[in-house]
Amino acid sequence: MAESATESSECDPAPQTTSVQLRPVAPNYVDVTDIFTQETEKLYPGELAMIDTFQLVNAINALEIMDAKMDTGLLDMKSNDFEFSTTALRTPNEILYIMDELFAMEMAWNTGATLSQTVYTCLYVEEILMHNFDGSLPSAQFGAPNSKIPPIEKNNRESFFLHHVLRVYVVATIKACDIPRRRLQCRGILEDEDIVTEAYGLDLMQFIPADRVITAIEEVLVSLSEFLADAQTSEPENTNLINCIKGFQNRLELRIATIKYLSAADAEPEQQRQFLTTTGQLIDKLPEMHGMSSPLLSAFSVAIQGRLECAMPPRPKVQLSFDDAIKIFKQIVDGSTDILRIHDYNHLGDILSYFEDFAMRRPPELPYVRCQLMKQFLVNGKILGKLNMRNVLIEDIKDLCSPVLSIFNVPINHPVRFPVEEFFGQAEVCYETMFSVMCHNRSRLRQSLCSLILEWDSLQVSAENLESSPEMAEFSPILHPPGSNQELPALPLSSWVYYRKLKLMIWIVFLGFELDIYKLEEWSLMLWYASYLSDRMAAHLSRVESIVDTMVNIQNREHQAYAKAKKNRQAKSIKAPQEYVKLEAVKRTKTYISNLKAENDVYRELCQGYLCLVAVLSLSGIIQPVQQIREMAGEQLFTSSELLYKLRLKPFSTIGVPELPSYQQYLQLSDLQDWTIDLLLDSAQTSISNTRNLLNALGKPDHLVNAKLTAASTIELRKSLLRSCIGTSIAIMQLRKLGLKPSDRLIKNHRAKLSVDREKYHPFFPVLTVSEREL
Amino acid sequence: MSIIYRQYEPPERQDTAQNVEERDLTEIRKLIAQDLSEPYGIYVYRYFIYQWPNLCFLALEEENVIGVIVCKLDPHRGVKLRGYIAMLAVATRHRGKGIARKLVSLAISNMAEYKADEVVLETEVDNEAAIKLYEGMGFLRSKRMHRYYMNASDAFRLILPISQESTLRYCVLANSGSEQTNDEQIYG
Repeated sequence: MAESATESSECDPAPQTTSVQLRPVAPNYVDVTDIFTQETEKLYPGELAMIDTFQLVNAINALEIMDAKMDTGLLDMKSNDFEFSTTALRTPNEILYIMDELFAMEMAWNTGATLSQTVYTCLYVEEILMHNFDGSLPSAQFGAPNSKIPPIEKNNRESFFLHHVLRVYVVATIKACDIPRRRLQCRGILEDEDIVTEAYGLDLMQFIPADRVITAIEEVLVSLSEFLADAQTSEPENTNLINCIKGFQNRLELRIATIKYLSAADAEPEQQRQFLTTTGQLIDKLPEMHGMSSPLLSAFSVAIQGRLECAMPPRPKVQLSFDDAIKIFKQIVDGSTDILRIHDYNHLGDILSYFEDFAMRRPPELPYVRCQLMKQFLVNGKILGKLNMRNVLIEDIKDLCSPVLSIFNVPINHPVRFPVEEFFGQAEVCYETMFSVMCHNRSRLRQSLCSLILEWDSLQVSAENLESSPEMAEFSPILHPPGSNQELPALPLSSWVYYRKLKLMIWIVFLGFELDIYKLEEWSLMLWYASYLSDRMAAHLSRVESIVDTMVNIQNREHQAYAKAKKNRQAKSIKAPQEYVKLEAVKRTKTYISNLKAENDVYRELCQGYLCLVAVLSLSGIIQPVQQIREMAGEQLFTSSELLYKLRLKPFSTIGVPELPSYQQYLQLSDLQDWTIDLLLDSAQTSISNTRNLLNALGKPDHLVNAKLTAASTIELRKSLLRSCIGTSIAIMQLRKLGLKPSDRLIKNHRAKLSVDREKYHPFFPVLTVSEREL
Repeated sequence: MSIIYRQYEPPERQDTAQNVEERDLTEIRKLIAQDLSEPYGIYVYRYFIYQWPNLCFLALEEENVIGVIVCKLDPHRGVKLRGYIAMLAVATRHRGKGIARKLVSLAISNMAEYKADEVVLETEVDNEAAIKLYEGMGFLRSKRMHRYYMNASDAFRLILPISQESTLRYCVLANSGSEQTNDEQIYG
């Protein structure tokens, strides 16, 4: 039966008095069985009748009833969950187990699993959420719907443990999912990819205030203390009971602390810090009594998926050990505490440095922490709730270029006022997106950066158009370096955009190494391209530095000339010199550029070392391009080396500057004809040694510009770079020992065995380890 | 025992008996279901195989299906023709005989004949055998996808460029708004 598509006038006579068509109370149905049968006879068995818009996703989402892999209903039919009683009394050790397993499930949900595979698998959670909870806290209980919670009786400990201790624990866990679940629906955190907030139509006690849950736990804690005192007095030898009660206390106290910090996520940093510290201290107590728990496996069941409004195929219950759950919780608490440091910035540039450092963390921060950072950063459209994006952006430009300050304050009637405003508007969008993508997971980060560089490239075009306008001369002057006929346009906006874009491009290339996106034969190409970008970065930073120096020189000369004229009492006859830049700001810029150049030099030199090493592997035939192998084997080639080159560098193919070198240029530049293996190994070793020297020469992290919040992690990253140098030096030594010879033929039984080691090394520079294999 | 390769054979239109209806499809499904972690319903098989029967190849030993590849080929974002390898399976006892390689070759050759600009697929990052197979045929890992599979593991998207179209980045965005964009929205 189907609802009639058209409403005939006989069925639904419209009243003459109104033009509005009135619907009948019950829908009209027509029997389409015959039509349906007729139509299906035109199909052959199994033929898929579909509309044009039917896509693969529709086919995937079409569940097949009675197929065990697809039909969650079968899970329910085959389960024995109905035999489990949520009102049956349990030993304190079993209660402890349920609490800890539920905690593990909550943490598993925090790492991205669905609620139906984690928290909902607890039958006590199901009892409350699916059967009993009617919006009021007392209804959240384990008995039949509308039952009263049994009163606390001193002589009925098991009842108290179940109906009060476990009950509030379960309620608190539900609340501890509810608060972040609503919060996690934020920009930067991707539904399904990072976290699944789907609640399957169940109310996770959204309208029960957190305070009420805390009060309920506190009341139980008071009774629990009495039970403990009683047990210690009347049966001091029953250490099992006493320890279990202490375990309950720790767990309930931790629940209070958790709910407090979760509900204070928008409070003042100091208050958040306080709650998080308390939580952190309580976590350490948790493992003490975990050993006392006694498994009650039947209290958790994946068959809940068959009872939920759930359109996905069955998924297994997530298995997460208690120790791993503790680690995840600590990571959340430590991460949430750490991000509060962004409020402690000295200079606005510290905040961006913090984000960059945050995105580099290993292991990566969990979705809740990433979401929290974004929420702390951007409050009501303002940075930290008080600053405009423009402020931070301007400081960034000042730090890099020390431009003529009036560029940030163009008079309202000036012809470039509007274009400058337009540029800053566009820049703000690019800048804000840059912050938000740094809160993405690492895989998504690379993809997002590939998109973002297009926006920055477009911004660069805007900056160049703007700064080529003659009316911009007073803000972006054409400088004439003393003693030179050269003209040097300052171009502060274009310079800043280009720097930021180059930095993102370099990051994309290196993230490919980290995410294992390049196969070994591509390493030489990507290291070469990374070197190419680093060379551009070095040249660009030198140019910016020389502009700043020139501006200072010109300013100094003008000041000196003015002072001299003044001394000779001719001051009135000459114009007072223009103050292009503030010397204090220039000092900061010079230090900043010097830091950036030094850091870029490290990466550039290390790339060079790696490039030589990989060249040895190519020259000796240890790494051979697939295309070459297929060609030699006489196999059909479906693609070409040129297409592979273009595909690999596709994210950069439309970038205006720096232009992507052509494949022919790459071939010319990567030709190894004039090299010998020994020469390449020497060159690799020299670059690695140079990198170590450059690393040692880097400034102390706390003396760097915009590094107040990142000093400690900078030290760690430098150490990991040093380890990459050491690891690569060892690989060079190993290759020397093998006495490799050039080979342009495939050697199947080569003595060298290669592997990529990522652990302990800098994520951008995994180490190639070489060992000799038995032939 | 010799292995023969052939295209999927759709049921004859006049065959209406249930046992004839989807003989290849039933075998294919049985073989694939043993290997894949993702549960696919009959509609997924029908979606691919009925629309692109010429891109489904079987490896048979004495009429038993011991290997299969299921693919599709359609326009991608209106700028290129993209082949997609949806499923590939070889019976456990027949692995290591080059059957998968042969099936992939047949599928790619056919897609190339139909002027495919590229061929893509996804595979688990830990599936070394699959990665080795496809990379050995020229595929590149174009991106990594976080928690792509139901078992929470990451995936690599692998691409084999066949024509220039595959390597072109189509920019539809300039001075875009603040909405976060996926690279798929920007270039095909």
